[in-house]
Amino acid sequence: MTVKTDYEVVIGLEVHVQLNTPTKIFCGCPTTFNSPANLNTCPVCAGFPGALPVFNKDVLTSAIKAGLALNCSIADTTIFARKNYFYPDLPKGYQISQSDDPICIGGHLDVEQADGSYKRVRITRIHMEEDAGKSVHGGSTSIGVTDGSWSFMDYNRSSMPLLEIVSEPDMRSSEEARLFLQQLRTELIYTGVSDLNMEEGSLRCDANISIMAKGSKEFGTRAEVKNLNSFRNIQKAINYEVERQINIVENGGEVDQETRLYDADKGVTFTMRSKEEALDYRYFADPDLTPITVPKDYVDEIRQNMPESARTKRDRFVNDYAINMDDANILVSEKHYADYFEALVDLVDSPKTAANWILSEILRLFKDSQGETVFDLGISPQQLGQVIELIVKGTISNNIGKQVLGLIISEGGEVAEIVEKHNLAQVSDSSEVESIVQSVFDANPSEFERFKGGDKKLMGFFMGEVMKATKGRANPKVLSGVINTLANKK
Amino acid sequence: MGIKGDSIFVRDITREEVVKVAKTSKLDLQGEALDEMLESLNGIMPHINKLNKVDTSNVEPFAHTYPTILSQPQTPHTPQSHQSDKTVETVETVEMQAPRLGVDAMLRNAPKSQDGYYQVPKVVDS
Amino acid sequence: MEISELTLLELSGLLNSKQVTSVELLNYYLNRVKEYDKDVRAFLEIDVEGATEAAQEWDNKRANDEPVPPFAGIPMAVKGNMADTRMVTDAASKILAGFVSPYEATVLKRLREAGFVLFGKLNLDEFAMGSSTENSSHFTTHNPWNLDYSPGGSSGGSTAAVAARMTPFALGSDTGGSIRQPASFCGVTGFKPSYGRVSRYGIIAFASTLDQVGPITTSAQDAAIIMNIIGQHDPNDSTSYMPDTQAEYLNGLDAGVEGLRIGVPKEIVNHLSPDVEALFSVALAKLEDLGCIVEEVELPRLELCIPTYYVVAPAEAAANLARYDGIKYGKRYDSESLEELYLRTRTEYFGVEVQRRIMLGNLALSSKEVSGDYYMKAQKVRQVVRQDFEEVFKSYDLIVAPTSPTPPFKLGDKTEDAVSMYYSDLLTLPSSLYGGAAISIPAGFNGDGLPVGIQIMGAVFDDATVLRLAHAYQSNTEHHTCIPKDFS
Repeated sequence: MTVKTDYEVVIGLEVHVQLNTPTKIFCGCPTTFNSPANLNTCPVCAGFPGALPVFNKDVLTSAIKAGLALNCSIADTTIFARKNYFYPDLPKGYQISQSDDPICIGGHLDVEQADGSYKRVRITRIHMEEDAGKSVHGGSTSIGVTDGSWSFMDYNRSSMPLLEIVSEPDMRSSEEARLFLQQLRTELIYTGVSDLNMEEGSLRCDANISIMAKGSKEFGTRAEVKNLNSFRNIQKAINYEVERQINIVENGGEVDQETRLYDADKGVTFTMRSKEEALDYRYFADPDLTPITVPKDYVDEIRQNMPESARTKRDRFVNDYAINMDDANILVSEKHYADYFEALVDLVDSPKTAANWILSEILRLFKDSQGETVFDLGISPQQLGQVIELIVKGTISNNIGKQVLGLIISEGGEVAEIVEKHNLAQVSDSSEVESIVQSVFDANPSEFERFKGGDKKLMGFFMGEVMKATKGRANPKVLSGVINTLANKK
Repeated sequence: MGIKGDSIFVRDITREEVVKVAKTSKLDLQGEALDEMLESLNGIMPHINKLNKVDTSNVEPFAHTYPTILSQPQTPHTPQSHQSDKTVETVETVEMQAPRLGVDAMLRNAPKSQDGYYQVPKVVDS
Repeated sequence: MEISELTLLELSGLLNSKQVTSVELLNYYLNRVKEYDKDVRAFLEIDVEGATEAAQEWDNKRANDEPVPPFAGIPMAVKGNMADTRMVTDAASKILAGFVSPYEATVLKRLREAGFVLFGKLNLDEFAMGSSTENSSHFTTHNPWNLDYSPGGSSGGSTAAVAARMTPFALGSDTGGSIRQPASFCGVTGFKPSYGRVSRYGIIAFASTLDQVGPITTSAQDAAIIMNIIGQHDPNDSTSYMPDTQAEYLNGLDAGVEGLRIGVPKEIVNHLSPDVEALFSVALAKLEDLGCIVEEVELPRLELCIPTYYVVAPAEAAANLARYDGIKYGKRYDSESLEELYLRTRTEYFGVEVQRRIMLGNLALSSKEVSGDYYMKAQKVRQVVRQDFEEVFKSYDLIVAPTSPTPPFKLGDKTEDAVSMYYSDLLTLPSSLYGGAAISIPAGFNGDGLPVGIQIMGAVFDDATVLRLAHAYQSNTEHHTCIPKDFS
């Protein structure tokens, strides 16, 4: 951290989560990505005269799940409000959002810090709202328009369902902010309400940042920084902004209350809207939508069906399977990792072995793949379980096991068939190994003499040669025994 | 409802306020049009002040007569169905009645469009 | 009997007994439009081709003895703020000039499926904001009873068309009296259903908590027939009411009104012009003749309806009209910059009255920190008004009052007298604000031969009782059957 010791940093985050309901929040249009411009629009989400919104209750269920995951209270009655402002990506001239009566209030997330301690960050509220459309600016190659004097509106994203999660200004460093967001993401992933992918924009974050003299109780004037589109950028943007504010104060200036944008390429924040230009959103209850009464049993039913949280799962992995904390943290960091592990762990004797295979091989293969989850690799937990079983039985070696995984991906098929087809089973039969060792000795007479003479370092050489000859299939234990026996014989 | 205070403070509007509200409304009022607007708004404001005659501090604001009440959180997605009665009942499944119309139909009325996009003069601030 | 004098049931009888074809019926009305509308100027557009095609289809079905709905082949025309997919739906605003909707309003879909043949769109004040059609961007409609007079508004095109029998019935929309006041001015029957009875999907919004579509007809019975078709739940409108059973508006229409308790707000008397007051007392006497118990009731806060409406309607309108920005549809004032485009489009193509209401609405919604929340305050006063009316409806079945404090006014003569202007909506605003059903029915003519209407207001969702009294009154009077002499 570059912050000087006599300042304290105060950070609150506003996190936007795009929900993965099949249809939009106020109409029946699909929420699929990457469709041709304006294909996924209708009179409702494109703001046509006379069109009216109808609330998609799946969004409410998702909002309640997120609220429960973040320890919020769920409102008895929740109301949609119009947030009024003009922007070409906002087809109605207002965004349907929530103001006075959001669906969730007053939660918290205990954020694990680098030293293993926990810091509580309070959640002010979670509200439901519709997303705006997308602007494409002229000159950009993505739509092949070179004339730079136009912008192009695509309302496919208009009315996609969002949650806005607002934290209290409880974070005191950029690292705390990043950890909060990462762990918030992990917790929400387990609710299944969103893909939470920052690159695709289903997780977005704005930060309210201010500084104050250390020990002060009064927060400084805050700047809102928008457009923080990766975990790394959040930290960088906050650091930059803190530096900027300290510089202003150190030079006798005052920080302006304004909205700033982060430019990831240049690594700087710059003014988007000054306080004077701040928009008056003129919120009022949306008269096209009725207040939504949320019965207690509705919430209770969701509560009872809530999936296990990431943290509970992690602790269970540590306690029940003796996985170490760091490994367990990685295993639960994505829900599909944990799902994979849990599917695998029932099939093999050693949970630790299962964890190791996932953490090393599966994650490596996954990172090189195009799939969305580890399940998309094409290696089922059952297949990996069979591979591990073959290794434990000594039918194949560890290295061959990894090779088999590659073959499952490239060729598919049953593990046993692959092993047989490619002749991958270890050669453990000593007479077979003996004949190969003998031929290697014969081919390398001088090395053989030195080995016999006591140069034990050549053991590795011979083992390598035999492995080369057998394509790695020789059982290493059998092999070393055979090499020693044969060498001593002569 | 989170509303602070109840009375409203109504007074004559100034020219500056009219200019400001016009800007918010994306209306370009100048000269005579501005004067006329100012005058006519100030003709109405005293009447609005009459709302203060009623003490509404314990009154819930008027909302629709029939709130949406939900039940059955795990129902399949039914975007066009809703409940508008005061009793909790099973949410009725209604087929989607506002289907997509296709890009051509959506853009047919657009003053300017290209390649399936609505076209506007370049947006500068983002 | 002339076709123009027939009710919907009688027209349906003619069609079903094949005494007349749907195309003939359509042509009959098209001819009347041709003959009379050059004077009245009610129609914005006529779709001869589409209507003829639809009428022909019903005729073919009837000729082949295929089953058809009871009202198949009856022509209709609707206010120009309702979306059909063939004609322009511009709400009489330049900002929507040429706009043809890609989708159809639920009410029009329901009526089309019930066999009605849409042939025309009718004039209105721009975005239904006004009470004379003089705010239309196209032209002003004239009152068939005297062409120098206003038909009222904003549904003045609809009421004038029905008064001149250029259509068997029409649809209007009512936000603060826009069906009832012009119905009163034109001597026809105009019904504003309880809020939530009729879908708003596809109706160009003015004020969302107040807007309601309703039939403009020559009788309460016709109104009930149309309500049976359009007054049903619509899943595309979240504010649409969903009763336990299908709503029925015709049942009990003939049950009589003996013993019905009628309240008359005593606060209204001071605001009535003498001719209206006189005709109103005659009407009350008639109701007593029919067996109603008529009593004065107190609604001391009635006048607060006016400032409440002045805040609620413009605030909602300001937001509802934000979508007209020259980007997606309608007219655009071409400009180099986006800001300029917004400003010029909205300033050039919104009329003055619409701009005034947008300004008033945004004024009411902004600066909450400084001046308090006008909209919230108004919605709370509105709640109090609703409670006042609910209280009255505990003891009375219906409330009766004139529809307008004055008879029709002359075109171009829209009074500059601020006070009487202010009170002109006093009697129609209450049921819009508390959400109940209300009907305006003809109650006679003043000394100038101009029609005067009375209004029957019911409790929320008690539309049937409102229609029952109107029907009973019309079964015993003949005002509603009068046709302006130049158009009979």
